Amino acid sequence: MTAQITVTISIYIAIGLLAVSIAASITGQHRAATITSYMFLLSCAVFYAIRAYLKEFFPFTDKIEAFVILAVLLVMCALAYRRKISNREFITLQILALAAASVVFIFVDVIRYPPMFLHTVWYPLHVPLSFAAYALWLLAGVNAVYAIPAWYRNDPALPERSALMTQANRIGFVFFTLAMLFGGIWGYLAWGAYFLWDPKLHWAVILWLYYGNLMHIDRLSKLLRWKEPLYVAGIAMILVAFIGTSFFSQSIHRF
Amino acid sequence: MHNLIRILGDRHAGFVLGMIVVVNLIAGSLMMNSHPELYPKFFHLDLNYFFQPVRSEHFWLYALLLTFSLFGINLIACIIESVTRIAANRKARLKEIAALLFHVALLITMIAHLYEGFYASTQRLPITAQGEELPVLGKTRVESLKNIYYPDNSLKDTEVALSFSKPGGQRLSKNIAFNEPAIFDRGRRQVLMLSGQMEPSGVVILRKTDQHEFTLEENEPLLLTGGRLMLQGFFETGNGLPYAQFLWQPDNGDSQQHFMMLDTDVPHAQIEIAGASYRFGGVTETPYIVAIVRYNPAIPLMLVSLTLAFIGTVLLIRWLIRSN
Repeated sequence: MTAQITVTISIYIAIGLLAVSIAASITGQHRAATITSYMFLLSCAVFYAIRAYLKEFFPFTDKIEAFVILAVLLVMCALAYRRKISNREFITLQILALAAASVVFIFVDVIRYPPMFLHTVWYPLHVPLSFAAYALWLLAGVNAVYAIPAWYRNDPALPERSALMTQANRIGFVFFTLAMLFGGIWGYLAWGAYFLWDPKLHWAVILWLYYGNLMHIDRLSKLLRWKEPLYVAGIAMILVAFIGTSFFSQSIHRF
Repeated sequence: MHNLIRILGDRHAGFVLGMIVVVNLIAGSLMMNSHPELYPKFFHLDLNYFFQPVRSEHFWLYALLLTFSLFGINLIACIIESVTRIAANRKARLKEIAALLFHVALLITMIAHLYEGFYASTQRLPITAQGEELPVLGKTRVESLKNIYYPDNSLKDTEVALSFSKPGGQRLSKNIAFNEPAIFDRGRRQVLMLSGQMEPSGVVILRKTDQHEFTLEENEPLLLTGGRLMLQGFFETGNGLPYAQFLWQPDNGDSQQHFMMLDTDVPHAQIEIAGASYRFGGVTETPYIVAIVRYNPAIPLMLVSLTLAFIGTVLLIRWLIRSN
């Protein structure tokens, strides 16, 4: 009981710290924003450590843990690219993280042991890596959103933003490829197949092909103009892959 | 030849084709979601299904096969071009080799999916202690089953011992669990478990006068003084209490049905047969699993693709570390 209360308190504190960090960023208190962001990560580490102890397993097996890990990875991306992104982009990423972590106010948090199919080493290898890819691709997407006015005006400052999009996509692609490889091995062992005709798996392939394809756009002079809008569209695709297929589809992968 | 490869491998065309493939997949996912009656929930990669019969709802798949084919041609031309370039420049950069490996892996994956889609087979069936005849693997039996539970009594894993009596007389034993299938033929053939449990197979009854124990298996008559007793099956009352149904066939006279509650603490846990009273002594159980038996001849191709993609990823990581 004490552990469950500590879990609840730790995530509430984490959300509070993230809100403080956003407020600090908005008011230009950059150092305070960075410190509170790190404290958010620390609080989330406590949240996951206790859950791992209670579940006797890696704690990414329910929807609350999934959304909070996305929030953690978004904040980590925002901090890692702090010097390369504008304050507005940093705030946007933090707001996205806050929205993801706020699912704790929507769903009832019951800490259960993981179902038997999730009890494998392939699961912790597959899930956090794909979420890391989502976070990096969202970073590229947010970067593209703020690049749209410059793109519209053909601003010479655009290439700098464009390079960040490419870089975030490359790292995201590596994470997602590894996630797909591990997920494929797991699927073979659990279902007898690395691929099923299933909305979630479809969307994994869609994202991999989409962002893999986007990695080529810098070398395509006739299509380069569409880079920023395509990265913006990528945000919608990630939301469909993560939220749409998890809540509104017939997928066996749904929460 | 060089010009032909350059035209077929046009990068702009490749990009556009890649995006059309993405749109086709999106259309497919929407169609699957809106027609669950057409697309079963646990649906392995079976391409024959989409042609038996051809349906307008499967249009996205036909378009996908077409665009994937065009994309594949573009990919082959790009690969040839890259190989030529790398061969000409012996000091090829890490990124170029990583990209080449990724593209070759993607091409092999596409071919493997096509091969699997048309030639793989999937069977979903129960396997019991009595056994089930499986193609190539022969008579397959569940020898033992052990459920492992978490402290809150939710299921953690199920360990099952399977035996296979192959048509050539060879006998094999394999242990399986969730995420641990029995693998044959270098990975091409698999028997994996979707669920496993013990199911009741018989009832033990005790004669009150001398406490003699009799075990009745379902639909197997037992000879008693004055007739034959047969266990017909297991059922539940309206409020969920389990009971067994018996048929008593006296040597002379009409058959009678008897019901016995399967709980020693309830009043109707005994039956009267030919003047003798028998009470419930216990239930015998037999292991039973719901299995997927799958044959996928494309596994070796997928292993090659997996290896190339892993090497490509490692090279890409090295390049990313160096370039940052």
